[in-house]
Order: sequence, then structure tokens, then C-alpha cells
Amino acid sequence: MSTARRRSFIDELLDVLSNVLFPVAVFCVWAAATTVGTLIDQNQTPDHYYQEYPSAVANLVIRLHLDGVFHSVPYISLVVLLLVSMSVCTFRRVIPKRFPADRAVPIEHFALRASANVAGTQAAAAAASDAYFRQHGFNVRTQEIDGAHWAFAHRQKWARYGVLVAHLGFFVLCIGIFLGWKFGIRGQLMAFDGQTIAVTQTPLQLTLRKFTATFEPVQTPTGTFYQASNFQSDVALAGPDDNAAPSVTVNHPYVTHDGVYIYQASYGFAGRLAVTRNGKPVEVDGSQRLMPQDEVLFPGTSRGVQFMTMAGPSDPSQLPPGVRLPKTDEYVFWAFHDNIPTTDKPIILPVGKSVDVGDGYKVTALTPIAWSGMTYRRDPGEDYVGLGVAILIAGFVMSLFFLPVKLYARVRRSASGVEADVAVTTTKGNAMYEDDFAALAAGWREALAKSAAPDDVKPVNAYA
Amino acid sequence: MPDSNYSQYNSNAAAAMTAHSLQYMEWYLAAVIIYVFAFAVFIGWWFFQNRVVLAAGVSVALAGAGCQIVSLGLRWYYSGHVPWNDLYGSLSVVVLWTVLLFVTFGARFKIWYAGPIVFAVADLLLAYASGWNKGLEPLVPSLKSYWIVYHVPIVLAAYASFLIAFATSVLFLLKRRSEEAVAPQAWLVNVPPSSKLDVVTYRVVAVGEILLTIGIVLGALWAHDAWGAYWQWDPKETAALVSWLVYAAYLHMHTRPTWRGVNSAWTSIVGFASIMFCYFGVNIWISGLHSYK
Repeated sequence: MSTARRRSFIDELLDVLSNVLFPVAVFCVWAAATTVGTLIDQNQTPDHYYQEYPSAVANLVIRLHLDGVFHSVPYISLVVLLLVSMSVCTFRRVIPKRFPADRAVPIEHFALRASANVAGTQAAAAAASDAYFRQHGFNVRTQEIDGAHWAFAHRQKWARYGVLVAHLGFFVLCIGIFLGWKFGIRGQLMAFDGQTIAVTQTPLQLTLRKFTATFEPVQTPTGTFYQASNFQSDVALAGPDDNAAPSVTVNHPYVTHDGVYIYQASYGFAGRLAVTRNGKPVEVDGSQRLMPQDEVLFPGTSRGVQFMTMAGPSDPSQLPPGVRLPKTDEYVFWAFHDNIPTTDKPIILPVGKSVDVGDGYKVTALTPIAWSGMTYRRDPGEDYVGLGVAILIAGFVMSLFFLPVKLYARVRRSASGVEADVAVTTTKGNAMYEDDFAALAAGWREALAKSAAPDDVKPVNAYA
Repeated sequence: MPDSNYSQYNSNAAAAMTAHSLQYMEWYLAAVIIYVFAFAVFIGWWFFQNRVVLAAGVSVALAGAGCQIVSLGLRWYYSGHVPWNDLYGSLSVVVLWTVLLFVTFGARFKIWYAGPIVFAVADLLLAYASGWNKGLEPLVPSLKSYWIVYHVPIVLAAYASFLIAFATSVLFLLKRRSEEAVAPQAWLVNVPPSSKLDVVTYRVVAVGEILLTIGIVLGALWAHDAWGAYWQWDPKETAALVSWLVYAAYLHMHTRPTWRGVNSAWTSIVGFASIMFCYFGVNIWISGLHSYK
């Protein structure tokens, strides 16, 4: 009893999973969840949500964990649920789905049907009918049943595997994504001009030989604006199998022998300051690679500078439209003492110039140093992803552009001569083939007419 | 490493209008005006169902498309890069695809009756896009890729297909209501039965979904080249995924006879709304890697 109940429950569960409306529901929920993830900024700090949204909405985002929708368990579960449903549907519906069998059928029960009375012989009409369907791409098999000539024909029968192929493609795609997620490597690199760094998780060493950024002036109604046109990192790679000196640009990654892709991702220019006190050089840690917001303290004092930004010919895109481009690069920074700025406004210092920041300290702006941000990755699943996509699209084309059609044609003797009937059914309903069938039936009648005297052909029950 | 990622840098600043810009804009405005005539002629065809009127409608539509092709060609020639790098150019391509696909589907599926809706929406989009014209700008580094030649037009062709499917879905709902009414509405008499409209919508959606799938895949391959990941959960990507899911739901629903018709027509309309959000909402209001205005 319990086994029967259990089997019944499992059957019911499988029925639900294989019901076409189940994936439709999952698609809708998935789409809704994705919309939420699109509208709400993802992976931000709680402060961000309280700043950007009303408190009630921010509370909702935090409490329901809507700040990380795409990598959440429920979201991934939707994909898993879809895969499960797809599997069940594939094995319970798609694979067992049989094409209508070749057997004598009650043609009058078909919605798409046509008939004609032919005055010639049954054999001539049957031959003309079979030939006509063959000419129109049907694969025809004939059989005599109870004195009637039957033709069982099909066209694009293979297209019924389209759904299976599309589902298979989705599976292969998911396998590829899983392999990439589980066994792939990915990371970020940042190197200053001339610096050598290790590419973690790989045996590679990367040296940034030279970074080049190029810009183009654009005339706007409010003045000239400089738009980035190219970023290029000339690097040197050293490793057991790789010794190369490639150039990496946006959209043109370098691929190592080991399949590691290296991408150009970001760039910038770090400030360099020389500090002296009463004319004597002072060593200040960090003063040679100053990034925005970096603070450096002069040794043994509470004096220092906070670097803000650099503007100038090295990176003109930092200037708003209409602002004059300086002839040389300029640094913007604050000098402070005991955490209090020593000036009302930030100091703007052109490269090569010096400024007195108090207590005998003088800061000189040196030529900036470029840095390049690169990302790297190796994805062992990418071949599977490519294969899965190709299979998925092939399945889509098969199932959406082609229509498997089953046709039954019968030619038999009747009191008035020879009676011919034809009926079709498709895997996508009748409406999909209505117009084509009307044209097919019209041509079929003409073909029958040619097999006899034209005046003797009288259409009967023409296409219901 | 600082958060800023300059390879995605996109100024969205408007360049000063030059004589070259004015040239392509003239052809563009000519297309806007011609499509108004196409809209009017197809309304005429709706009532007269006359070969001459149809030929006139198709000719006017193709004349508008021709103007658009000249406009886009001039923009391409003067800028030195593909003209669909911003909202103005891409919307122009959407409308061009819409007209070309409408003529193609019209010849194949006889959907000329959808002309008034198609041209009304297409012309509104084209007129709206003119406000986003930024003139001739150099291409930002992230767009300097051969992928832009394939990915963008294919996705835009998918949008155009869904626009046409939206038009046939609206007609389906109107026709169905008329069929169910005691007194059918006279202005819908010449429109084919709702069962045929449902089939046509399915066929157009099928074309759009395949194009969208190919477009998303090409975009993923481009992202792989540019950013080192097929998928970054960028708002544009996720919004495109939403649209893909809605139309996938449509295609699945259509396999069930009881869910064809009204349910699938509404799904097609929701799908088009998601396309509009994916296109305008993400480009204009939500910042991300695809915020090209």
C-alpha cells in the first residue's frame, strides 16, 4: 500500500515537473527575480541602500537579501529546478513522443482535410497523388488496405527532435559554466610601468614594460572634451612555457600557451612627489606611487599630504568639457598638519614645480607614473559553453523554423468513380499549417485532374 | 586597485554639430516624415485592401528605409566607425530593421494589416531618437571590436521582430474581442481571423527569439574578449535575459492548445514591454557597462 502511494506520489511529482506549464512558471519567476536584481544595485554595502533608497525599501533589500540576487541560493535553485524539469520533460515527453503511426485513419476526423472525385482509374489517381506529394518534399510509403490505396507520408520529421536538441544544448552550456566556475581561475593584476608581478594561481611573472593611453579631442557645445581612444599595455610574460612580450589592448586579450587570457581592464597615473626639508631630501614612504586619496606622513611629524588627483596631458579625459587642458600634468593635493589642512583650497602643483608646505618642508611634483589594471582568467569550460550554445541554437532553429507534418492520403473506388482524400496533422497544431495545406490541397486536386479528364474532377468538401 | 574601470569609459557627451552631422540628420528627418506617409497609406490599405494601395505603402516604406540607409551610411562614412554606437544610431537601426522585416514578413505571412501599428511605433521611436543625436564622436575603446558589427545589429533585429510581434498581438486581442462580441466591429472586418494572427505572432516571435539568442551569445563572446567574462550580471545582460525568458515562456505556452491565443498574446505584449525596458530603461536610467546614450 505504502509503495503504491509512494509510486503514485513520485508519478504525480514527475507529472508536474514534465508539464510544460511548470517551466513556464519557472521562467516567469526567474524573469521576476532577474528584474529585481536589475533594478536594485547589487553587492553594495548597507549604507549604499540607505543612501539611495527610502528606508523602507532599504530595509526590505537588506532583510530579503535582495542585494545579492544573482548568486543567492534561491536564484541558483531556479536554474537547477529548470534543469530538473527539462530532464524529466525530455525523458517523459520529448523522447517517447511518437510520430503518428502509418495506419488507416478516419480521415473525416481530421481538421485539415480535402477530398476530390476523379473520373479516371484508381491506379492512375493513386500514382498521381503519390507523385505529387513526393514532389512536395514528402517521404511517401504506400499500402493497399481493404481495396483502398493509402499513402502515409511525412515531411521534416527530423525537426521533432528540435526540442531535444535545444534542451541538450542547454545542458551542455550549463556543464561548461559549471566547469568554469569550479575549476577555472580568475584574478586581477595591477602593475606600474617597469614593475614585475606574479600572476597568482599560475607560474607566470608579468612585467609591465610600458602603458600607453591615447585620447582624441571632441568639440562639444561647451568646449573641447578628450575621449579615450586606446589603452595598451606592453607586457613581458615569463613562465615555464611562456616567454613572450605581447601588447594587450581592450578587446584584444593575450592568450598564453596554458590558455590563460590576459585582458586590459583599467589604467591610471600615480603621482610622484619629492620632499625636502630645508633643502635636504627626505625619504617619505609611498610618495612615489600616490593613488587618489592616498596619505603620506613626513617622517617623525604629523605633517603630510593627501593626494587627490592628477590632471593634464597624460590623462586629459579627467577634465570636464570646456576646462582648459594644462600644458603639463598637474597634481591636486592637500597639505595637512595634525589632520587639519594647512590651506583653504587644495594645492594645484604642476610637474617640475615646488611648493612650501610649512616647517621647512617643500614638495616637488615629479613626472607621474602610469599603471595598468589587467584581469586574467582560464576557463576549462569554455569549449563546452561554445558547443552548448551551438547545439542550443541548432535546436531552436530545428524546432521553431521547421514543422514536422504527417500526411494520410487515400484513393478508393466509389459509386461515382474514384474518390481521393487527404488529411494532415502537425506537431504544432493545425492553425500553423492551414495556409500551406490549402495551397497543397489545391495543387493536389490539379494533379489529380491531370490524371483524368479535367472536366471530370469535382472538388468535394474542399478544405474544412 | 581603484574601482574605476576606464576601459568601459563612455563619455556620453554631445559633440558639436558639424556640416557632416547635418547631412546625415537631413536624411534621417526625411525618413521620419516618409514613415508618417507610410502609416497613412497602410491605414488606407486596411480599409481598401487594394493592390495599388499596398504597392504604394510598400514603396513609401522602402523609400523611408532608403533614406535611413543613406543617413546611416553617411554617419558611418564621416565618423569612420559603425553608426550604431549610441542610442540615436541604434534606434535608427531598430526602425530600419522593423521596416525591412515588416516588408519581408508581409510578403511571406501577409501581415500588411499590422502596418499602421508598426509604422506608428517605429516612427515614434525614430522621432524620439533624434533627441539623442550626439553628433560625430570617436569610438570608445570598449566598442572598438569587430563584434560590434555583428552583435548589435542582430540584437536590434530581434527587437524589431518583437515590435512586429507586439503589433500582431495587439491586433489579435482586438480581433478576438470583436469575434466574441455580438456585433463584430466593422473596422476589424478585413483583419484575418484571430487564429491566423496567433500563428503569425508565433512565427515572428520565433524569429525574434532565435535572433535574440544569437545576439546574447555574440554579446557574451564579445564580453569574453573585452572584459574576461561571458556574463557579468550587468543590468543590460540581465534585462536581456528577462526578455529572453519571457519569450521562452511564450514559446513553451504555445505548445499547449489551451494556452495559445489570449494568454500567449498577452505574454508577447509583456515581452515587448521587457524589451523596451531593456533598451531604454537600462541605457537611460540604470548605469552599467552598456549605458551608451
